[in-house]
Amino acid sequence: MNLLNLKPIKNIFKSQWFPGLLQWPTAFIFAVVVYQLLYGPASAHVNFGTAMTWVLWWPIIPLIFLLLGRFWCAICPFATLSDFVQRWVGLRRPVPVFLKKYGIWIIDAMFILITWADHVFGIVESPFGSGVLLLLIITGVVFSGAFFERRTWCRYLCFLGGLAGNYSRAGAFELRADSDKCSACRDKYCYKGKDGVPGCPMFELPGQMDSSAKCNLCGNCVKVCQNDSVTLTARVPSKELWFIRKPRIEESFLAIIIMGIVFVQNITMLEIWQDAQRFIEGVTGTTSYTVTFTITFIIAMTVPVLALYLTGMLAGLFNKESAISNFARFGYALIPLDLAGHLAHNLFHLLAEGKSVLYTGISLIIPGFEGGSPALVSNEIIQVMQFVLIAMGLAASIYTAYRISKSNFKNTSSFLPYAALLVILAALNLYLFTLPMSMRM
Amino acid sequence: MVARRFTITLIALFALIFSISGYSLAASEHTGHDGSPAGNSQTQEEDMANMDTPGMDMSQGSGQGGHDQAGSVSNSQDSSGHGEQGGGHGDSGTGEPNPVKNLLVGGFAGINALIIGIALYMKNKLQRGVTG
Repeated sequence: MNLLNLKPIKNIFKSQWFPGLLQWPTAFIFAVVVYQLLYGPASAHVNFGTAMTWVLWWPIIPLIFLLLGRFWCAICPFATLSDFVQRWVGLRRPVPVFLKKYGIWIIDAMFILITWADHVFGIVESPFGSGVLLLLIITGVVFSGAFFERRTWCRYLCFLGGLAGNYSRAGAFELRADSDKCSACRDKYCYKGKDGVPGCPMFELPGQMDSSAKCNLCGNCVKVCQNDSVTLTARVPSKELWFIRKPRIEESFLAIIIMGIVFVQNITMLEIWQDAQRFIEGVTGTTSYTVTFTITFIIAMTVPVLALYLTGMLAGLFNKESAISNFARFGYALIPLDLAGHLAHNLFHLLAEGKSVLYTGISLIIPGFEGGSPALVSNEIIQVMQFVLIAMGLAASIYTAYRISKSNFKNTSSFLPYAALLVILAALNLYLFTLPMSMRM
Repeated sequence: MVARRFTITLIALFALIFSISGYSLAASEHTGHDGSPAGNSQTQEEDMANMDTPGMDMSQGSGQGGHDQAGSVSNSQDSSGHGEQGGGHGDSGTGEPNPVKNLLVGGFAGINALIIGIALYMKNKLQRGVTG
């Protein structure tokens, strides 16, 4: 069912205030957050910026990707800043070829680097560190908006955009266009823009779009299309992953390293991390946290990648494909479990520390305000929710692997090694969630 | 050519992140994800033994199971580092402006202004080229 046939939804998408009405309040809150991070309390424990960023925004962002695809990207303050700079001084140059070619690899590298830097330099625990990270991103956004066309940053460089792209493929909505109508259309206003409404900021032609990875549901194409070609439909979450026509190894690589990153995030918040550190210190003969963490980090990044590669080799025995080809094709099956693991990990921070957003917010108005427990629900409830999420993610991932196998090969047995790998990864996640975890605030 | 550009971009990104992180480190004195100095196993144990410190109120107060126990591992470091925190949301000292912080924020503002200035200059130059 095309949701744009429903008048209220169509009116929202057609409105000149959409999504601007949500963009500017978000930008305002972002400005407060940045100020708080840079000049607010030095302790993350009482900093409103830290609470907003790492206890509220970061935990709910995967949920938004699942429910609304990349809609966050439409109202993201960085995108608003990019648009603003572009309107003001933008040279609107074409995107460099190397960015088009290697953009996702750069995103992969940025993601790994930022996670590493977070742990070594304590970005999350340090409000100022988080503020510096945002300043760094702001600088990239300003550069991109000043020199390049559309939202070059969002599409080719934003590390969150890479994550958003992967997760949005598993999302519950898809915006598409009638390819027959679009192929007959000569105007292409959806791409070029019309009457002050810009063309697609993400460089997409809706008529040729077969993925939600780049669409941010900004509605520009809906506003300008004269053929009523654009449709918005609900779909089974993860369905898009079943039919990836041109699998890309860098996207599968991102999917598997996110798994590694979630493991790192979990492990370093557990009590056993202290024991692991001591063990590595004993082996390396150094007490440097940078060294011990870097070793752990390299292992946590490498092992899942190798496991996926080896599984590809095993699957090759069934489908006669190369390990690399299977790596690229089946890597997408990890995305639902990635999403579940990411959500489950952050659920703890959201629900066990959620009230800190309120307390630190009140303390902006009433200095010295002291709240009580930051927990919204008990840990037992959180654990049950984490287990349910992992179980759902595992089921979706295994089914995705099965569908990928079914739609590409006569013999569906090649999904079996992936099912085994997914069960192992889910079991590891479940085990880690049974262990005591530390808080962010 | 493309590969060289790609490598240069990556190296530049790494260098930028390292230098910024270095500044961040100097400014906030954070080492390690848990906010503790490197390899401080003994401090951890001492902190574990002193779990009744006021800074612990936040996790103790939540009255919850497994997670809180480890929550104390992390928060106990807060309690040793920010002993004056009361009840989890007490006065921990606001981030007063300091020269490093202002220099860094000012530096970013300067870089962004420079980017915008260059873009404006190029835009004007291009427009003159077209019309003139």
